[in-house]
Amino acid sequence: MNAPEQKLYSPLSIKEKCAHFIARFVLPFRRFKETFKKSDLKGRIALSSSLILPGSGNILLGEIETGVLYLAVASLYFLYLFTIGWKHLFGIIRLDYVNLLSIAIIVTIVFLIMYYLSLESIEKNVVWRNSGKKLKGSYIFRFFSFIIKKFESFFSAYRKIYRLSEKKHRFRLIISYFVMGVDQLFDQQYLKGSLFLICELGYITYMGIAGGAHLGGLFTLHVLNQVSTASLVYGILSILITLFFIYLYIANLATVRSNNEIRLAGKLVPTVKDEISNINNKKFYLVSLSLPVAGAIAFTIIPLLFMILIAFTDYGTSGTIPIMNSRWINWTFFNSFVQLFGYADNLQTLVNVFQWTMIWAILATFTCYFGGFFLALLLGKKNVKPKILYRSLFVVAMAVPQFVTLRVMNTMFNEFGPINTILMNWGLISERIAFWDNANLAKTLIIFVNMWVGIPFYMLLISGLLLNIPKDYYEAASIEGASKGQQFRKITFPHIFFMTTPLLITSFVSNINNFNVIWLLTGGGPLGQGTGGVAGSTDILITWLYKLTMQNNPEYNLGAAIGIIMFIISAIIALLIFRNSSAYKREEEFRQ
Amino acid sequence: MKTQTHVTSRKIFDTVWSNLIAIILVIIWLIPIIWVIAASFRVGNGFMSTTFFPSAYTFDNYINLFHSTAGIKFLSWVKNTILIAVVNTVLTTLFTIITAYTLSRFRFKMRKPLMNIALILGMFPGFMAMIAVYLILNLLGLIGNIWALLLVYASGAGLGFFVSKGYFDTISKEIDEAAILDGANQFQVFFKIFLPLAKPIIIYTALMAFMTPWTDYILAGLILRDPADMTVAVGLYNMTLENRISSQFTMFAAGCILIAIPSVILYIALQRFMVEGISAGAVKG
Repeated sequence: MNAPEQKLYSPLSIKEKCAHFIARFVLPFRRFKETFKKSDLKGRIALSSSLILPGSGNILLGEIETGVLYLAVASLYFLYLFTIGWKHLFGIIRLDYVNLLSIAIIVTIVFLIMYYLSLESIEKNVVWRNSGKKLKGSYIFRFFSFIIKKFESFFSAYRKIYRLSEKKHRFRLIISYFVMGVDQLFDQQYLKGSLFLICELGYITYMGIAGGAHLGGLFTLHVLNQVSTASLVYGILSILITLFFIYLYIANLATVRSNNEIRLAGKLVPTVKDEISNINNKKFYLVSLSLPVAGAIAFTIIPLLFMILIAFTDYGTSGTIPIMNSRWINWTFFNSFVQLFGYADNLQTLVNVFQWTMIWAILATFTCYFGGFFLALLLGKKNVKPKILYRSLFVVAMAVPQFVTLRVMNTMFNEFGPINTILMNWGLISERIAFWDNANLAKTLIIFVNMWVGIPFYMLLISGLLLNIPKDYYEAASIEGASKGQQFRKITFPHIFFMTTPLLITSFVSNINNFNVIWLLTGGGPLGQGTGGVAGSTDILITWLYKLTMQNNPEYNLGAAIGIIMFIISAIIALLIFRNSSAYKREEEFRQ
Repeated sequence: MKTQTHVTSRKIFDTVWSNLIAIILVIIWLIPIIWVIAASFRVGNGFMSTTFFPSAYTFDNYINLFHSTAGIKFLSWVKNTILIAVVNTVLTTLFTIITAYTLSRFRFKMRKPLMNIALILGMFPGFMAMIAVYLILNLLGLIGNIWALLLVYASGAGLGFFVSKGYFDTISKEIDEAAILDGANQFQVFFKIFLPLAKPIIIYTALMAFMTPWTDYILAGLILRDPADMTVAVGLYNMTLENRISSQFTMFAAGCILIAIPSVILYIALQRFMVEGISAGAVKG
């Protein structure tokens, strides 16, 4: 019998489920005690010190980064708790706009979760150590020792080749350190050799003419006849070019080594013809990926690096827009973050915008997902006809560009728009309602309008997936006497949910970044309810970022700092879940 | 006998009920669209109206789109958009498909790192880079040029490989291995064997690429400033800005209907591929 059917009839009562959950939760603590008894002195010290200071045990056992991370979070929390946190918790300090108590509680919960995780990790480490195995140790240390080992083995192989070679080859091996491509040219690998040589000559000329100045400009940002922003772009470019050159240099030595190894083994070094056929076959990726990667570097990576660096400058603070030869921007390091977190007004705005961003992302994802699920089930019923027509009508809603539908929705719910008119005509309301001027009404409407926009997409998706569920499952279930509801709960839902977990995560992240819906419906407004700065009460992080960088007095550094915070949030969420998802882990198994 | 009538009556009840809900939902989804269509034929300029359906109908809004003076050059917008859409379809599809194909079929040292980098880059909010893209294009002297827009679109295409790669992973690898054994090279395998099998996802990618310039009003609005250079999305979006919406709303509606017709036809005609494309992307991520 296959697994889903067994799963179908393993009923667990809620009580049992709770018991399981509690047992799972308590287990690490019980194990903790047992491990403590079994450990030697060092293990015991590590365990008990971790109880007081999370992470200290990890440091003791050599896992420096993990330990420092836990320790940093813990000390930040204690710092917060003993300075202002306790006042928040006991309600001694209150602010009009921010609910400090809820923030303090959330921070505490996050800390407790981290504390729990740190105990779990130290316990695992000690068990691992007790069983006589070696711990992984510090990541940074391992990384560097790995690199050093690679270098050592490479150069020892190189030296060995040098010893074994004839005199004329020895010369080539030495000169390859300085002039790239020479050895290959001697071996009649004209294509490869000349490419390497051209790259080296090009790099030297570039660095001589402009690159050196560009590199310097990145540090000072004061270059004559150059706007500071241009210096920044050129500086990034010169660093990328240098990194690429270093890569080429290593690649050059590696090919020299492999060519000479082939020769010493008494075989023929590959010719130009071999190289070309190699590119046509095994190394096809060099051809196919070069353009896309170049494009991504030019218009994604360089701009992103630029904006990340901008967060550490004063670009835009109090109107600092660089002008050639008269006004420059400066490195201010963490100043924009301090500005963002430090000043009460900005902090309030940040907290409020962040809260609404999270609420919005969660609600938007789940309403659309379950709405689409419901619609797909409804349209998938045998007796709902004509299916094609129904589905096509929803596809129409998807096909109209979003800016059209959303601007139209904005107009429809306008104070003088048709919805108000109809409600007035029907006598349901006596006064026009300004939907977009009331923060709570606007937020509710945003969620509903977003359902209108998003549900057809999920409907299409889930109806596609519903067809993939093998019919046998349902047949077997109905033979065994399972009701429609049971079939849904035990077959349909788990199946679809399992398949769409990656999508749920991506759409959660993309909802955090969902600019269109908010911007086109409310533009972030209405202003002034519970927010300071330029953010309105329906602004999410991304629209706030947009306003900060696109308004009349742009504050690019604050915008960039928000961008970095958003990245950290999305990255943590996505990495935590992605890496544990089966789609990521079992990439190869998915193949048929 | 009694139970059977019970069952049939329950079935009828269920049918009526389900269809009723479906019809109500369809109506909810169509109301805004019907309202725009109605507004596009209404006499007058603004969005204010005393009734849902207009009291007098006219074609003037459509005619005005093509003969207006106030910075509305609908015909050249459409021309620009079609040009950008067609070129973008070719370039973006090519780049996306070829990147996805390479990452799905080849195993090389940089593969996992490249995929992880693409994943990480995707987590940065897109706007963050936009101002820098503007600055770079400014340094290159490309602002106001529709080819600059195409350059940015096409160079981002390689990063959107996830959906297609997920689909390609499900296409059996044995077929191309057999072809290689028979002496075909990678280009032949790709064009002769692989592309026909991957038709649904290619059509989906192409459709998305084709629709991009019709919907993108932000980046396009940043790069294309002159009314004659704008795309439909930028031009129409600008018509809904606060100072213009009350005098140009019916024209906006007419413009929307004109651009919505081809896109609706495309979406409905290619629905099957959309379903396959979306589900491939969702399942494999």
